[in-house]
Amino acid sequence: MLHLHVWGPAFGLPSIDAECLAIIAYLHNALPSSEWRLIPSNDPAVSPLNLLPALHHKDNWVSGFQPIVRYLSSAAIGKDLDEPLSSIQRADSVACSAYLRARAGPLVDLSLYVSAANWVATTRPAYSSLLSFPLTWTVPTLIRAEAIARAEHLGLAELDSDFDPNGGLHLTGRDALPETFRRHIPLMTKKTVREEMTPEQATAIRLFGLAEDCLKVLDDLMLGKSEDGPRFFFGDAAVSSLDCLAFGYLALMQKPPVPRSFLRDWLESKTPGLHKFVDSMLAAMAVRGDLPWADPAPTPAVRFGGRVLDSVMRHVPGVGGHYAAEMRYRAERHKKGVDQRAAMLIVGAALVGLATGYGVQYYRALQPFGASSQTWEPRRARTRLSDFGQLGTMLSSAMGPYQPVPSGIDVGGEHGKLVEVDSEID
Amino acid sequence: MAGPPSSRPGWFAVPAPVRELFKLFPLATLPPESLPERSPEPSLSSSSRARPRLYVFARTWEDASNGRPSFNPQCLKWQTFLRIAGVDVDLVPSNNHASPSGALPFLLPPTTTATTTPTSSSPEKESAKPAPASKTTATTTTSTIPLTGAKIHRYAQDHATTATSPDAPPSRTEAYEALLSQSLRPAWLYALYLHPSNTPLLKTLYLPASPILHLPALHALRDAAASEILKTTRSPSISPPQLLADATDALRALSTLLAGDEWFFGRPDPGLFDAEVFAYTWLILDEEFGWAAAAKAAEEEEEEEEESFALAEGLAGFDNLVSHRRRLYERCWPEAVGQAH
Repeated sequence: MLHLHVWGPAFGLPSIDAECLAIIAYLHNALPSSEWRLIPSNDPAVSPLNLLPALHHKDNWVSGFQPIVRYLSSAAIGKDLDEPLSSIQRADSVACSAYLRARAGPLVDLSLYVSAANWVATTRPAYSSLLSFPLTWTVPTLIRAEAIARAEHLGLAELDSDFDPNGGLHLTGRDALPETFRRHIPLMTKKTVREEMTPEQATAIRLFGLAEDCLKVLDDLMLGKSEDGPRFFFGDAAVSSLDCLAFGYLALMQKPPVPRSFLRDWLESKTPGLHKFVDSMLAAMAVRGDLPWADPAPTPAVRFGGRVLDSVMRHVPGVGGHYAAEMRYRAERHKKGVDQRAAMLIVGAALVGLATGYGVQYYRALQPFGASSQTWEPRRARTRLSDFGQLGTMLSSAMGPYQPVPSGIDVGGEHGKLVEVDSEID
Repeated sequence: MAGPPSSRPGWFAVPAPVRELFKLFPLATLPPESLPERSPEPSLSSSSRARPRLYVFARTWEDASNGRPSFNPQCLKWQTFLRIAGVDVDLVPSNNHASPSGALPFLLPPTTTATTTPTSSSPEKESAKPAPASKTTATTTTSTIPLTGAKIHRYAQDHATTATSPDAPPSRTEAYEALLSQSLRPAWLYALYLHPSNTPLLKTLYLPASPILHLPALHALRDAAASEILKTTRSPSISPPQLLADATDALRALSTLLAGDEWFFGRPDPGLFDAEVFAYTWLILDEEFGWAAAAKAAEEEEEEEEESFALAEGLAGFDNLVSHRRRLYERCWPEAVGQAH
């Protein structure tokens, strides 16, 4: 029995993640549904590689689309979907898969994650329905930060700075005033056309250029262009692993109900073949019956708490990056528990924490700068002569009671006085 | 508090002794140093840059002046393509800080027809005042804009003396280019930057000689390489066996694509894609490159879990790629064929 752990369903698709969608499509076409289970665990930490999709089979964990396909064909599990391909078609399939990851992946990232309007309206609610309570605050933003980093090279960061100008959420200037006040203030500036546009409209040329670059090539590469079931290599309904991967990315371009749907618009108007491809893949999956969903095993409270703590740690400014790098280092070396490096780090962090705490305490114990400070001076005048033994006592009594004139503010009573020290003279 | 504030100068006035001290500077003004020998000579612009200059990573000045292949795949790709097109260039060893785009290589086209240099008249004036010298370099560099990336491609095609094959199927070429950048490049980055046995090689290639700068530069390089790999593979951690498997898949696909043809996509002449593949295959299989030998590396590893990263062994198994590499080298570096390679 194979157990496939994935990100859960969203937008009417079996998963919210492209590679998860792809491997679901692959397994559904390669295996009868009695031989595998689909578990929406929504936690990459179930697999040692910390990546979903993850396949669990006889104590083996495999993560990622390509490795799982490789594992299935090497272990001869199920039908090898790439078997009917010739060797040059296999080469093309490998190249196209790389192309999808390199070019279609960033487009999906742009549409679902970078564009703030789409993120707020569509993607974030979808993640919220997949995750349970405190994680909905921490995990989606981490996923989004990763996606933004991946799409950074496209230079479209301004999609992030997007707020609907008519939404009333972020009112500035004139809009912040109530309607009755606004009538009495003369209209100083008119909004330019540029300000009226959403970032998607402002960068439309570049966005469409990107979409055109990527999707035109995919459209060219699709060779089997039959009317009812377009596929990459053959016109009939036979599905290859490349079809599955392309389905993963194209479905996420087309299906999510995003408010700024530049990718879906492009797919519908310019490349109807690709548009039809997604629907035909979905239809082909529906024909093969329901997906073998299974409930994930309930997470123990300790593990859940650990995950919450982990995601919170990654959010801490300054420390978060180092923490993530350290966790990656440990995952790559398969380190478990506390070894020398971890112990040194913990001790180091503890020492730094102690030093900082001591410094803060010391600082708070300091006199406020500039304020006058007072010191206590014991009054020794009366016993000045009596300090010199018996003779002194005799002299003291001989000279009679003598009281020196107090110089400071005398609030100390008979044993001493408070002397004001001017800190500015110090 | 102490003393009447009205008689004092303002808070920001410089105290008299300090003012006196600063009046002493400069203690002496030295005559301007002459420019280093390798710097471009602004006054002789028309004669000195008759040929375009390609700024690349190179080990030594000697290597560059002999036109030996660069050790950086990106540089080698454009160097090879320019050679395929028959454009003669002068190589200049450089580094990323020199480049206007922040990455090498870049190409300075030759300065043609009388760039008006206002200072060619009197060299005595120049030696008297250091300012005009910098002004002249500014005027000559603005006359030619450095070219990077696709602009080098266009330049090479415009100035080609031998025909570069024009009609490659664009979509398939793009797919296979993505294969190189998506599968082969991460493996290359891992092998050179992150694999511990290749640290000495990395030191000789990219790191400054000064031991103080050494460690931070090494860390910065490694961090950059690791984040680049993570970004392209879209995974949260680096798994060397998987990188190697992906690279081997990519090489197998390339080998199948080439089949028995002379150049990729069955064209009569090599093109940009051939240059791109050559940039990797040449360096991976170059014996003089200084890769840590796999057997020696395995002995030196103290930790058993560090397996050697056998990229070269994987590539050597594909005979047609190896012979493609040799063929392109013989075509582009005919002068070097008689020697060791």
